[in-house]
Amino acid sequence: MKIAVFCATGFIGQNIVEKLKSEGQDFISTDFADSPSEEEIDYRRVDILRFLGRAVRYRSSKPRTP
Amino acid sequence: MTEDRIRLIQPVVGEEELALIDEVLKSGHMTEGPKTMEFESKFAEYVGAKHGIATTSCTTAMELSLRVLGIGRGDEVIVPDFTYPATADVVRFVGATPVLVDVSPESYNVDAEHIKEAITPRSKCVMPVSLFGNPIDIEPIEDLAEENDLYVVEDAACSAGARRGQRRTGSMVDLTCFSFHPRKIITTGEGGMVTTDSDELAELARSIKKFGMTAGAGGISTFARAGSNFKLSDVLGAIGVVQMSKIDEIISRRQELAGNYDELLDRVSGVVPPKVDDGVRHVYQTYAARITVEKVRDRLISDLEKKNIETQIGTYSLHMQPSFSPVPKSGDLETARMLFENLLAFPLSHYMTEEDQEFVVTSFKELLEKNQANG
Ligand SMILES: Cc1ncc(COP(=O)(O)O)c(C=O)c1O
Repeated sequence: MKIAVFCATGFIGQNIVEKLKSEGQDFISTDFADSPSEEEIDYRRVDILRFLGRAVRYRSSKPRTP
Repeated sequence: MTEDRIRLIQPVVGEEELALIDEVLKSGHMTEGPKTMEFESKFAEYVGAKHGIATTSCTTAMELSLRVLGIGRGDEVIVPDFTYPATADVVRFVGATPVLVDVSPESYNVDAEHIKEAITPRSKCVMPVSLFGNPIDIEPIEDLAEENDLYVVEDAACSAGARRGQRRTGSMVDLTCFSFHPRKIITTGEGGMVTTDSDELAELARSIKKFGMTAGAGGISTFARAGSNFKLSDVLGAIGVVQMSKIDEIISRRQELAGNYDELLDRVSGVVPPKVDDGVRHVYQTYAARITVEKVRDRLISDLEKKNIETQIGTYSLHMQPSFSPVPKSGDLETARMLFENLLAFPLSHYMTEEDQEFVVTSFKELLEKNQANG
């Protein structure tokens, strides 16, 4: 079974990716920013929360700079 | 033993506050109105900010600030571990994730180095705390915030009137939050304020704190967004107006008392008085000295209480509170733990005398030696 890590570039996400990597788990990680790891990991740059956030009218005016 | 209890702090309130409250009651206007607006403008002018937005507490001021910035789910906010829980709780309340970082053992405040270690692409904001009346070292923090595109919301609950060089707490960052709880520099019983130089953020804050209202055509309000009710009653606003006329006198008295403690404690071993950087106006909401011997502070608090001397801990190390066990932490947070366990807040009441202070320090010295001897 493949594990999916969302928000992989966040503080918690980075720790989870490190842990899964050290355990040799089969996982894919995603977030809106560039890959959180220099080493080869299966990472997709996609902002899932932003898709969810489209339902919300008031979001920050501050742009995210990936 | 003295007759009366030597209090940690006492609000400086009296006839003038009563007179203005009386005026409000007679006016029949008891919700937020002209007195709160006068308090807002006096306070904003005092801290050198363009706008003051009164709220019901510093906690609601901080929640309002994060909502104004649109911070929520998926966002990380960097918060010092050594603070009152409210600083990190508001982050959780808006659905974002607080990341706890350690503080400096000298200033007790968070510094740029600790913040830097916790920045990720999800970081949206940093919430430094100007603890106990000591203003944050702003320049390295604002440089870091600029480089990393972070907002800065300062928790200045304890620091009305503080300054670093020419820069005043209240006009150094995007949004600053103050408290008017009775243990603070000035008080309205309960109350808070957001200050900012941004017209846009101020307008949004005023709307969100008032049900999301904006002025509509023909005097009929329009509800433009989701909001809440953080309005400060004019009864409390009136107290704030009078307190503003006393703030500098209150701060001077606190600085004088702190200076006396510095001198008295200099002669006592086993305790380190608070350190103040050159050019800083520390307003001493709390005079917190560090006991260098571990595990005696709590006994000192209860022993001093038996002598009718009220003391307190400095503040909390959040990661040691059960509520914060699921919250992410950066590093070992060892300084915050050490300060949580070893800082002692000395009584600093406007009305205490030099004799009271001598009695406090003599009793403290005697009890510290006794507790050290008993291990
Ligand atoms: C650092 C700090 N932040 C926030 C608060 C909360 O302030 P308020 O009681 O006005 O909500 C306190 C109160 O003690 C505090 O010390």
